[in-house]
Amino acid sequence: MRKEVVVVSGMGVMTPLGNTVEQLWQNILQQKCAAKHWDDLETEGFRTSIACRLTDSTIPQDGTRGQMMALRAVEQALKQANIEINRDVGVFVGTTMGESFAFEEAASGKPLDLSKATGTVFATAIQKHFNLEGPTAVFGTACAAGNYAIGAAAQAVRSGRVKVAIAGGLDPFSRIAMVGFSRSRAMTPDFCRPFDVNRKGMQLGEGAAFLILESYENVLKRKEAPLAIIGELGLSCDAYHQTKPNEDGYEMGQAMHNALKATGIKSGQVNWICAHGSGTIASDAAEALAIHNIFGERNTLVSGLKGALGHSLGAATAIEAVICVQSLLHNTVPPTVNHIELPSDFGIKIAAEPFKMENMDWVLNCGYAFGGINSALLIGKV
Amino acid sequence: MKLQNLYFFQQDLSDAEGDITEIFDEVAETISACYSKNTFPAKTAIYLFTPDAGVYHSVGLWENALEHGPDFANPRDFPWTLASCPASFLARSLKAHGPNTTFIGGIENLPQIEEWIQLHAAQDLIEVAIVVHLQNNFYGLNPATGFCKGVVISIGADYEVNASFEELTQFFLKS
Repeated sequence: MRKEVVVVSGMGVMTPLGNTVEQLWQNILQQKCAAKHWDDLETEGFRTSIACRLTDSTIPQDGTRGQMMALRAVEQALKQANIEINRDVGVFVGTTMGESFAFEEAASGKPLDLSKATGTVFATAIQKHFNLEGPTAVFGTACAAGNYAIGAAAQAVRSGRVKVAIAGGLDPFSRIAMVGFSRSRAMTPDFCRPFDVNRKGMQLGEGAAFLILESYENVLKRKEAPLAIIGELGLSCDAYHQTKPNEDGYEMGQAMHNALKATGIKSGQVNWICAHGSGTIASDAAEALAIHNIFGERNTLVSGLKGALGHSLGAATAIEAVICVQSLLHNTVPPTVNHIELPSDFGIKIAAEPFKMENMDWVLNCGYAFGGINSALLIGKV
Repeated sequence: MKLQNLYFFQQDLSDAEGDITEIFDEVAETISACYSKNTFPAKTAIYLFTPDAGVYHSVGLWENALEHGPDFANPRDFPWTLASCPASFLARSLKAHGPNTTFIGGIENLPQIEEWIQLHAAQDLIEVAIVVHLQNNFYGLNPATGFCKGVVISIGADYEVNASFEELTQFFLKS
């Protein structure tokens, strides 16, 4: 099997805290929080009307919400990569709910066309818009889907199956997810507080993020500057409960361990952990234990970005991967917005404020999902 | 890549009705029954591809919310709105702690699955790979019949079955 060093050459985002990578990064560093009250959610009778959404005016109206978010993010990424793409570019997408509004309309009696509703609609839209015919894969691995898509795309480049890949994740705002999380009592009534002693749950968000991946050699040949290295994706499964993580955090730790082992680096080489940090009682506790077990007393800094951005489901780990790259480029650990006090038994070190380091080499991007699906992706400095 | 020790399974879901967990309990039993050792090692991975998992329950949950209001909708089946739920359910039933992956779509996902089986085997993450093709017909969702079919691949087996991934693709093509 041919082995290539895979790098990121371009990135694009559509998020409630900015529709460019730079805007998002600055808002994160300024510790802004995207959570706000939405009249429509209150009128419709949701228990909580606070969410992290994009305002409609920021999304082009010439297509469905999810497709437009995806296309705008991919356009930004291609522009930054400064690449003229061939038809054989691969497209790797992660999503949880697909084009959720189509299911909502079907519930009101409108005919349901699966090809315009499930996650494949996003990959198809990207292929059509950019005139691509390369391999595609759509990952329905819920809240870890972005990591899966980026990890799979990196492997496809590494193996030579594709030369260039567009990889990322997205989920437009889903009322179905809103009602599901809310009725499952997983949602906070006010703000998401990752790893905080007073955390009360997750907060729903939405967004899209895409990265251009290609071999290091290819980027240099094009005389462009690679942004970061994509290491290996570590995966594992709790096989424990439909919704709850195993409280021992063992399999979450195995995902981290698998990423480190496959990439060939030690835990001490990781400067920052971009945690899943959903803000729920059970998930944050299990994740803290997993991090402590793998990283020990090294005091590797940990941040949870969902306090700022909410939980954008399949987009979450893709957006967080973009922030990981920014973190490496600026040698700066982003803050955990809304975090005030760490529970005394967590044994990890949270970055509550932005933290500038002399140098950062590797960061670990973690994402977990219902059903005990665990992922951890290493991203490194070029 | 030569595939070793293949165990094929197939279950008709065209008339599937009743509790969703009971349906997948039966699928898990079918998979266990086809595997000679019955008990799967912890290093078992599930690679499931499906065009429609989660669809029926997504529509159903929102119907329920429209009828009773979002604050009173029944959340019982919320996990089943996620396409990943069948694969994670099977992992729980079979105690499979290896990579758990759900691909949306059909057999076009097989090259990706092949690449991941090779990678995960090389990384010593899997001893057994279970590839599943799931198409639902719960309560008449799909005009085509519903089915769950697939193959259990024992990676570390000590003899080879003369099969290639291309032949496996042919198996999935024959519904």
